[in-house]
Amino acid sequence: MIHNLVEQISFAVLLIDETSLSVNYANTAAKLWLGDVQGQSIATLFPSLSINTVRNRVMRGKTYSQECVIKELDSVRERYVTLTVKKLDDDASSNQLIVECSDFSKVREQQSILESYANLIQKQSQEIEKAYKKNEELLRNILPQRVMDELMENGTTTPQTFQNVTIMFVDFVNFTKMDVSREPSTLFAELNDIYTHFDDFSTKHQCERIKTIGDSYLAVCGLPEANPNHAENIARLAKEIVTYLNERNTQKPIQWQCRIGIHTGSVIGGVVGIKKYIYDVFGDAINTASRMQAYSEPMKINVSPETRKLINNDEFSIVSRGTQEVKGKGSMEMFFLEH
Amino acid sequence: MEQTLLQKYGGVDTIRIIVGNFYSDILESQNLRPYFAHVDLSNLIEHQTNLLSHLLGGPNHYEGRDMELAHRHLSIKPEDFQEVATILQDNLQDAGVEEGDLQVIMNIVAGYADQIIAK
Repeated sequence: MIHNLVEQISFAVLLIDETSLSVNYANTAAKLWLGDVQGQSIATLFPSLSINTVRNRVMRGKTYSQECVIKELDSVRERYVTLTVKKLDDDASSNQLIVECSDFSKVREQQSILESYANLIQKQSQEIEKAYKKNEELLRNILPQRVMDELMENGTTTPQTFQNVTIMFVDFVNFTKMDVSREPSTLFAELNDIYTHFDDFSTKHQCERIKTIGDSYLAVCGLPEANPNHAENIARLAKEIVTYLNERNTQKPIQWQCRIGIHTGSVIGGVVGIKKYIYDVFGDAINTASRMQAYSEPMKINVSPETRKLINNDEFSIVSRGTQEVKGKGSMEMFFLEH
Repeated sequence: MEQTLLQKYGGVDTIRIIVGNFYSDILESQNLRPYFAHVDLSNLIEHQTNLLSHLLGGPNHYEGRDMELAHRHLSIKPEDFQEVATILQDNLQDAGVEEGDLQVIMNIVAGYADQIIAK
């Protein structure tokens, strides 16, 4: 019965001659793994064995243990085994050694599976990271960097009052009356193109584009980061816009005529809206800037006294328009900034 | 948020067990073994883990063409495809996957037949 048991256990057992190391007996599992092994030496069967070390250890009454790889007979799979060799303790003094091989391939396979899975999770993380970054970029189009940082960190932003801000409104003369025989999509595409240029100019001059409303473009300097040259920056931005449009008009069939108004004052800036939001600005100074634009003329930059005071130097050529009645503001002197 | 099948049936441990047995069973089949004579078996494990995770709604890097690419040069016979599908189903059942969920999964697998069986 014991013999039956040994035959049926699932790890390989060999009995080998102590001296020649050749196989006297192999159980079913051993024959399955190694083939017809009768009479062969374990040095041949397990080439990676350090035979002298085996002999020495066993002679000292110790067990020799090593990991081996057995290539399966049809070369499909490799079997990773732990091999042990020790002296057979028996009455008959048959001078044999027991060789056992236990298969740990399963452990390795499981490890492989977990490694594969870990890789999948990592790839997923990378994709999530990419999506997050893309999201951040989109958000950066809507919010100024500092506001976005605050929102990311605190989950909310607080509106702030900014003292020294210069504001520019640009709109397009007769936009609504523009040649409606043209496809609206053409007008739209051109406006987009123009606004993209405006945005680039804004960034170039350290200004922040706040928003566009239809054919109206609003940019500021001095918020959310304070800027000592806020008025000059806006002045340069306005000039670059007019220059650009003049150039563009010589090259393209649709003529875009802008009117620009500039004013300086204090402004409240904050995120408006919860699910759908923009960063927007409020205050009397905004209204005044809008007025300046309304009182401007085609391809001209109309500037308030407050702004004019701050750009009173050699770089800018400024002409007074005299005093006029300005709706809601009373009597005001306004100035054209030449470009 | 809805629970994925993977979450329902025990997460990564389930993958570990199912793939482990799926892998073994396929390699032990006398019919299927020859297909793997020259295959890098660690690649196979990666492929099977990816597949299982995909079928159970877990993290995966599965792309529509993966099946086709992996089997293109193997001349798979219809009966062998069926044998693998059966082995997969048996292992899913062993792992306790319910009949309804099993149907859903095996339908997806059946959908791969076109990509896997040699024309």
